[in-house]
Amino acid sequence: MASTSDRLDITRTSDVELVRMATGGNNVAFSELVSRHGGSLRTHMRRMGAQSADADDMAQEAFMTAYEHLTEYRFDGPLIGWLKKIASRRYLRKVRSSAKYVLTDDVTSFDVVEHRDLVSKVHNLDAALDRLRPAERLCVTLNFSGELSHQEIADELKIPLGTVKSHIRRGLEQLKTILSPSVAQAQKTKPFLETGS
Amino acid sequence: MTEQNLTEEEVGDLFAIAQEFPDADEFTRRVKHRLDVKLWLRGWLVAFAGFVGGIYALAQIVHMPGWALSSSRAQLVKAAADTDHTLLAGFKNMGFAGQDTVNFMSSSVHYLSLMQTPLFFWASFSLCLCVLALYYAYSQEEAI
Repeated sequence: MASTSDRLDITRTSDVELVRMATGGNNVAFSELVSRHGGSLRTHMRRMGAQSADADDMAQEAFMTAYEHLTEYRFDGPLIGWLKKIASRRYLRKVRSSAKYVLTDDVTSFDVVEHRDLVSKVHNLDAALDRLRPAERLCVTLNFSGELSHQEIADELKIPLGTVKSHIRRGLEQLKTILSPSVAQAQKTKPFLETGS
Repeated sequence: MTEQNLTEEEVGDLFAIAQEFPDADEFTRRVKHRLDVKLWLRGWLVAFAGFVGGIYALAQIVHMPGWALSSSRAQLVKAAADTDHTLLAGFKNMGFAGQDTVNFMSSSVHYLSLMQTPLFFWASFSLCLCVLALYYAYSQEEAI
């Protein structure tokens, strides 16, 4: 059991150092990583479209997978990016096996006018994401939150690159339209930002 | 309306904002608990596999002599009847008790014999292949 001073020290330790400690078998260091990035990962899963219970379950599994593969982390980017990729792939495997309709090549135009009426009601990104089609939501979140390139998303989802670009373009346009009036307020009330390290 | 639209960078900034969860500590505790259970199970599985493997290896190299169960009752009667040699009878009793123990252990010789048959070898070999296949499937599932 770590003492209070140890705990305080570990909260100030960088991700890189915590990963090195966890690789050496220090479970307290790994718990700190979970504590530090749990919120971001759970948020990411929800934004991809996972329901709360599933999102938390897959986030937990992603952390456990990450623990098993910590030695494969190359320190070539923020740890949270690596964690998000692990969690995203888990979620996509589930989507591919159980909800293929999400990835159907539906390219009918989106009725933006209809949703402009919602502008006054939608005050945050998560509510705005709920307004997107599942495939658009998935592609936009993988691109902006998961930081995957268009080609990587196409490879992961096994759909054509052009379809991914269409999903992202349409999803982004809708998000911009829905979120615009609330951006100033959102900027003022940011809970916290990811540090990434 | 259009001129008020967000830029891509601003949308990216919004994605960087994580929700706050009131059960964050509970989430961390659950992950730690699952990890502890997984590591504990793995440790015991390795120990159990090592034990079984050790027994199997031992069975392949150790050939138990073909002991037969002795008639301990008859020998006890014989020792008791040897009243002129009480001390000797006592020693004999101890010897018989020891031999009974050995005989009890020797009953496992049937299992050892079974473990040295080709059928057992192929059955255990197939089981090992199944375990390897399961491990491969699991590692694919856990791949990142």
